[in-house]
Amino acid sequence: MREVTMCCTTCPSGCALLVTIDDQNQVTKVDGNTCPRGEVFAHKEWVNPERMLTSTVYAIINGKEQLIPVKSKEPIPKNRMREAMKEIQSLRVEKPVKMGDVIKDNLAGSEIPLVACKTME
Amino acid sequence: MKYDVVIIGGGITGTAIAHELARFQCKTILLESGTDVAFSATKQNGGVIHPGYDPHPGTLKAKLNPPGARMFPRLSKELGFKIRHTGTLVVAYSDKDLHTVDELLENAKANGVEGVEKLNASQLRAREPHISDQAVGALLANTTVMVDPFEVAIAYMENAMENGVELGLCQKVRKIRKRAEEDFIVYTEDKQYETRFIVNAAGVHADDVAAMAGIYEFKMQGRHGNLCVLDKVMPIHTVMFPCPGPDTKGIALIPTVSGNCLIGSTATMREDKYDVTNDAPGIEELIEGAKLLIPEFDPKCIIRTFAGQRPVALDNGNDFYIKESDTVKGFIHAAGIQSPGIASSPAIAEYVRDLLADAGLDLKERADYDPYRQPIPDFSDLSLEEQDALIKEDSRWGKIVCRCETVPEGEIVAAIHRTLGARTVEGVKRRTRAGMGRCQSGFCQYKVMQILSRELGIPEEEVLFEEKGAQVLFGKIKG
Amino acid sequence: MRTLTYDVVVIGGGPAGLAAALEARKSAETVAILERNDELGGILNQCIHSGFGLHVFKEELTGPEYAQRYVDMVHETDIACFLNTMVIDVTGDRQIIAMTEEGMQIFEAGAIILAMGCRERTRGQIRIPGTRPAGVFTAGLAQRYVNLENVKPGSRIVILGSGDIGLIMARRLTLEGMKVVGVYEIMPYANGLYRNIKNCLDDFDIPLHLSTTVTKIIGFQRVQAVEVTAVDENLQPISGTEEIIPCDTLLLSIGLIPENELSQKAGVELNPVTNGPKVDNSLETSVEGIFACGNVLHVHDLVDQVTKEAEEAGRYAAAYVQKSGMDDAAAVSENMEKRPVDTKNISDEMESDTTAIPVQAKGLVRYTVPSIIYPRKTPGIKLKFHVSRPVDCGRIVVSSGEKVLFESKKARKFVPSIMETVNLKVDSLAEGCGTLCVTVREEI
Repeated sequence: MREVTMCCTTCPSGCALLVTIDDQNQVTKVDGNTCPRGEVFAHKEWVNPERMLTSTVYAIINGKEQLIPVKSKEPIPKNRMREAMKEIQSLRVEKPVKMGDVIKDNLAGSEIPLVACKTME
Repeated sequence: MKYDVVIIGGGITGTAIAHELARFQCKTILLESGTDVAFSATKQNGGVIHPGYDPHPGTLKAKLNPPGARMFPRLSKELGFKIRHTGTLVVAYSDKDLHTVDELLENAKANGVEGVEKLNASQLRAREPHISDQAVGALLANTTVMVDPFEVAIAYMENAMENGVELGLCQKVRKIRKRAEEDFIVYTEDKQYETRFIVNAAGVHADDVAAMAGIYEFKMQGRHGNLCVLDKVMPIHTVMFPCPGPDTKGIALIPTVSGNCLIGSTATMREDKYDVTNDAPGIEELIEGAKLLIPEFDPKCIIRTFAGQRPVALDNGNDFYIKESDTVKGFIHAAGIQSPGIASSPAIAEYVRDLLADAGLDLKERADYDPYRQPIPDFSDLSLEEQDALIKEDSRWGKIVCRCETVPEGEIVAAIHRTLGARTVEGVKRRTRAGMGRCQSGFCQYKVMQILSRELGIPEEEVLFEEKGAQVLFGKIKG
Repeated sequence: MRTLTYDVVVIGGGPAGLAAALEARKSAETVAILERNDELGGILNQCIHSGFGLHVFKEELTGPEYAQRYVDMVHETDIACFLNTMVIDVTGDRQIIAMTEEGMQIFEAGAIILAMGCRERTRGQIRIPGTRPAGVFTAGLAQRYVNLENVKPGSRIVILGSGDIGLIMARRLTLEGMKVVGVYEIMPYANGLYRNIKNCLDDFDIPLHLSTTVTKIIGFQRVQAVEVTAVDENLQPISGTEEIIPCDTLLLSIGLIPENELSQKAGVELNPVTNGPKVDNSLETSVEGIFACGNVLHVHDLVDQVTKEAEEAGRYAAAYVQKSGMDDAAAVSENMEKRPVDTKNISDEMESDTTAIPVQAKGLVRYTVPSIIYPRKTPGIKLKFHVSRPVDCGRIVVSSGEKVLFESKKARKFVPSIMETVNLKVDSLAEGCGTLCVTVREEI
């Protein structure tokens, strides 16, 4: 058994968590969180940390060069971020988009889609 | 193709001489190493048109400063640059200082400067209510005006070009060869210029340029000065100096033509002629100096710091060094033009003109000379009706670029497509004030970049900040 | 030149302006938004990272999404949106002069809501010595270049200041293939949120150097390096600790300043601590009928708080218009019928409240919004403030003279980057209540 500290990044409060790990490397106890999301975060962060990825996608819409702000619809595994950025770099959109439109399915094999964050016409 | 005159250096002195020679039929070119005129000391000083009360009688400064200063109201009308009538106060804090004020009054009389008077403490406070309560009196020089020195240099050069004088930018002089009497070749990196006469207006590098022609008659060094630009909040109307010390004029508060205020400047001699860095102790000295004059001054209103080097000809009694070379005929020095160089510039130009005439240049006036230059309309300075009319003529005048200084796109496009048009981000700034305000281009730089790229027909990553080789951006990220 | 008249004119179409206009339109007949850019949404359009909307929408949105939701809501109403409209003057009697591509435009407003946001502090304000080459950007300008303009501001980058924009830019630049050498912070603590330090720096192994600042910019044409130096407890550089960090770009994330040049033209009095207007509990400035909200009032850390504040400003501005409309109507009928009308009751009920209670920030509390309270003007009173330094354990105390009006139940941690809010009941402000004193009492 051992204890590790981590900062909960679910919301801007940034609670300092004290997480107890058992000998099977499982999270058994979470302290310091001020809401239930802290507990969920600690489990995920210990086993398979995930992050929201936001970036931009190159687009030519009605002849005008633009960048569409995009995000992974859900957090993706942290270790797939670089690969996801490579995929995003090669994308090119040539028609108007609405906020929420899927720009690419299965971002970096995460099964999470990449979606537009803005309506651009 | 041979020139009559090659002017080396596009600062206030070189451009003033170009402007003066434009009146005549001689063939003149000005060579400047930078990407624009007014590239060093000229853009790095306070812009006070000193009326001439302080140079010692008998010096070249005393001879050229008062008549030069008196020409500014006329030049402002002809060349379309802004002036602001501020007057100067030289503030006394002690009996000794009051004695200095008396000496300056005497000096003013000897130099033929009018409108200079002595104020007692209550007269001083009536004029500038925020002045330190330690002040006991002052000298008031009523005729001091303010200019933007780079605007003046641009105006001089633009008018000269419109009257046939040529300008070579990015033409750093590398070598000068004298083939015979009145027969020089001036070499730059990529070009060469044959000429009968050379005017050396190379500022702090004037001795280096002279040396290229085998002339070792004087030595130059820079007097480094830090300056600060303040937001438009200082409650003062007059240029204010403390009484001068033995070496410098002291730290002054200078209300500018645009409604800002400068604090300037420190004064230390530097070995490195290229050193225009700001230093922390220097900036502290400025803040202390400002507080000495206006105790309520709050450094929070500083929006920019900069520094420059005033070209000082050594062992020359702190005077200008303007003469034909003793050893090489036809080579005229206009060197050591430190303060009051801006104020003296039109008189220096006439003096150099006469030196050229003495040296054998035939000065026949041009019949088609046009003394007038149309300035770029300053949108923020127009009436509501004029602004409306301008926008209705061209909608780009209704598109804001710089919000701090109210500069629309139309004004920037106009500044680019001038006889001497802006080519860089800083060039746009000095012609329009876009980026010169309190946000220091944080909001408008990307727009200025887009406009420069579009109007010059070059990709954004080739747009220069100011110097050659100083790109702002590193190319596209995507696409 | 045309003159357009609206009950409420909102200057600024960012998050504050959008929320204020929407709320004002609930009771005001005509509302207009004047926006200087070519789109609504303000700075949110370039804040493409997520973390917005947890309070307002109960979900985590990116900046453009948060903006888009409000833009869509505004477009469902008849609020008039004037884009590419730059206000250049505002008068105390609520006349607005703006430039547009069609010409100069005059607006007359029953009430004005100032929502112009803020600007970034610059190199000049912290007076970094050295040369003045290309390659020194504020973090927000770099963010604009990367996220909207599709250009690289540099390749090897040093960031000064650990505010949230700086941290978020460190991650953005890294993700887009630029090298962030390090983030330097003069204070002994980071200025941004913890989660940004973790997600933006730690995830990418970008070092954060506390108590260290940039003391010199080196390079004549483009930045070639910066000199960084450790500072002592008085924030003064410690001689001998200088280090030269080669880089081609310096990003400054050194704080934000409310943009109140227009407010000052209208005669609005400013708080020298925040640089924003002094307002009362209805967010009305010292000039009658001119209200302020969002970052033009004081710099917020979360857009959600901006929205909430703006909604209040919108509500009170609309109420002001209604009330002055009633006063005017009464005045008109008085003139026409030459008969005294009892307007006293209406205005008495509404807010003719002359018992002003000044609010004073003390000790660790840097400032408060509002800075003056008229108890009967609003149903409840929200006091907002930031602390001047981190406090491990403390309590908020609001007092009037000897009397404690509010004290936090639990002692807790305070940091300068997080805004604090205290809700006071109007009833607690008894008749004749003197100056309110707001402080954070440190406990060991």
